[in-house]
Amino acid sequence: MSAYSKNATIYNDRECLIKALNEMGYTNEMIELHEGEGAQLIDYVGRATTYLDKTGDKANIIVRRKFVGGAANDLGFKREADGTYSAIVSAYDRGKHNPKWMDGLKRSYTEARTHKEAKRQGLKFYWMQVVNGKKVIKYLAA
Amino acid sequence: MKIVTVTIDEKGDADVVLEGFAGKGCAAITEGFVKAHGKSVSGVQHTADYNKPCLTKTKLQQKG
Repeated sequence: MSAYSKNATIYNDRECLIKALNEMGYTNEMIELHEGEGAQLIDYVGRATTYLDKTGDKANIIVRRKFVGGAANDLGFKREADGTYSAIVSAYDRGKHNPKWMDGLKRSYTEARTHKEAKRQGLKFYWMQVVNGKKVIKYLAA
Repeated sequence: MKIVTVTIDEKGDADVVLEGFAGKGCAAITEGFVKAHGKSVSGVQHTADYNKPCLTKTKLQQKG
């Protein structure tokens, strides 16, 4: 099945979302960036889909199906009016992009966004370690 | 020493703990992280310690 569904996320920083996708195995060369209303998503048989939008399912950040896997469909993130990105994942690809994978993406995004905000605030990285499965990051302030 | 500790759990939700900050300096840093993690700034609540040397913990809950 290639039917797409869209899920809201808190991702509001394109740079950090791309870093998170990198952490999850999709290199910059595999990621397409599109401004405005985005670009058309394509399913596993090469067909432009219309599950979410009668004029065509579109996304602003796209990993094309050839990078997702064998009979996969494109993976997309659509920029919404509030500045957040919604994840657009096909039913078939929820085997790969399952809740565990999505949690990993969110962890990576949160870490990247944390470092970016710390840098913006002039905080100095102190140390980072994993404690009981949680990543603990410490910064020093002047 | 002023220390900001961010803890990211398995689900990608974050806690921010600030130690050694006083009052409004503490709030400004907290609000920065709340904004960065996509939660409304109005979600910040000041405790009775707001006017004392700052030791505060903020949970940043995220959807998605």
